[in-house]
Amino acid sequence: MTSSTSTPSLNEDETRSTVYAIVGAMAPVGEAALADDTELIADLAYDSLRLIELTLALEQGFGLGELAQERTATVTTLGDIVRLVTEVRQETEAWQETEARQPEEGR
Amino acid sequence: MTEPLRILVTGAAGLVGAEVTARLVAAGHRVTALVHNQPVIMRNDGTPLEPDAVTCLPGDVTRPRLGLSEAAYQTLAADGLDRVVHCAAITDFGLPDEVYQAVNVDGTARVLELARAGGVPLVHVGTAYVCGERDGLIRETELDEGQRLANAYEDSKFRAETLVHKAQADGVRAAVVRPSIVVGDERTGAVRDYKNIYVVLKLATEGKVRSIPGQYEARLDLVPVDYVADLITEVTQRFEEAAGRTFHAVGAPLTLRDFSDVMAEYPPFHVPRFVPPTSFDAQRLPRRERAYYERVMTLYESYFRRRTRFDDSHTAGLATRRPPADGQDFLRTLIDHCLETGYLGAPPADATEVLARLNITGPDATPVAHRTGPAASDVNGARR
Repeated sequence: MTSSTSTPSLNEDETRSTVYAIVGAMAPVGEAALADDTELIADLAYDSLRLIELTLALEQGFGLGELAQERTATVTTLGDIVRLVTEVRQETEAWQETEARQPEEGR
Repeated sequence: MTEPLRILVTGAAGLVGAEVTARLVAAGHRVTALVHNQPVIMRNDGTPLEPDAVTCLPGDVTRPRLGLSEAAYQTLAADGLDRVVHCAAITDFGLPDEVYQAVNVDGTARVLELARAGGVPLVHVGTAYVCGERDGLIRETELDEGQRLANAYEDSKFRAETLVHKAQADGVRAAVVRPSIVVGDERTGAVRDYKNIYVVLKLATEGKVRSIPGQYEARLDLVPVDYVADLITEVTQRFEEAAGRTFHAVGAPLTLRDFSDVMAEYPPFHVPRFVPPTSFDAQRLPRRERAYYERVMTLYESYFRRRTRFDDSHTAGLATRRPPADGQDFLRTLIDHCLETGYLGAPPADATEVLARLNITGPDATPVAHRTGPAASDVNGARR
């Protein structure tokens, strides 16, 4: 298995710029200026269906696995997405490290 | 022309409320429109109601005195009103239970307080789906038949109507209008808000949801918003005849087979398969379809199993207008309008297309974490 090392760590700036690119490209309202406090629904005209497609794009684009509804439900701004993606990536890395260590612990 | 009445309409900015308000104003009545967030009352065809035609009161049915000042409330209760038309309700699905309780149940209780305090006749707008998951013919005289309610929305509307019945027993005069699934205008198909059934139509016709647990014999009842508003207006104006009774505002029922047949007439549309609920397993859906299924379709699933038919004898005896005679023709009108506005038709680029355009392939196509098990494939209901 090579997957545990195939996810390079993005720093927060890289995460942010990729999130901005994805959210901007998926947005029903194009050409809007994006900032961390830009609201997906109010400023970019996302509706509930487009938000689901955005969730899929984030999962796919960052290789996140499935984002649970409970976690996406509280997201309203671009900044919220950057935080969510960063958190999930850290959790995934931590999980992968634990997995990688397990054989050594003689399980 | 009936005598001008002083009428309070709650939820006057809503889809049904705005159309009712417009009709009552046009009939020469003095309408006070209770609005929550919207300062302007927008009609279903997108035109705003003349601000001078109606007195707009910002309020909130979940709060004491409908969120009005003591003075404003007293003016209404003491000498203000000949009718209250209670349209305010949450009709979106999938919201927290407390929201339905606050707006639909407690809101109705507040409106009943006003009706009781002022001795004002009430027209309560309910839903035909207070019948819950009962099958077969549903009569206007029936409410509590021990039925199972499918969701928090139905449950709240059932409890709201029960409150109205209790208040009637202690002397509040009321009539109830129960619309089924409110959709666009009968003639033009136009609708201001694409919600509920429209969202299902969109996911199905775009092929985002390809199999749906349900039965082709299940029936959905779609009713034009203008017909609903006409009936509420008529019940309001002819309250003496309507008092104490319930009126189904329902359209021509459509089976899911009828839906499929109409959808298949449109070449760009995908047509979903309805598969027996017992052989449907959401876990076997591809990730993308499962996301849409879990987040949207599950909200409506029970409607794809019910074989409900609504009797509307009370309405037929009172109203001058009858609902659409042909459900499939009406559905075509609705779909045509959605195609004109672009709500249905070519969907915007999906996640994969957008990522490809951005040259983002994802750092890891099949992440180890959160993997969901055996290869997901669309194996539900392989037979058509």
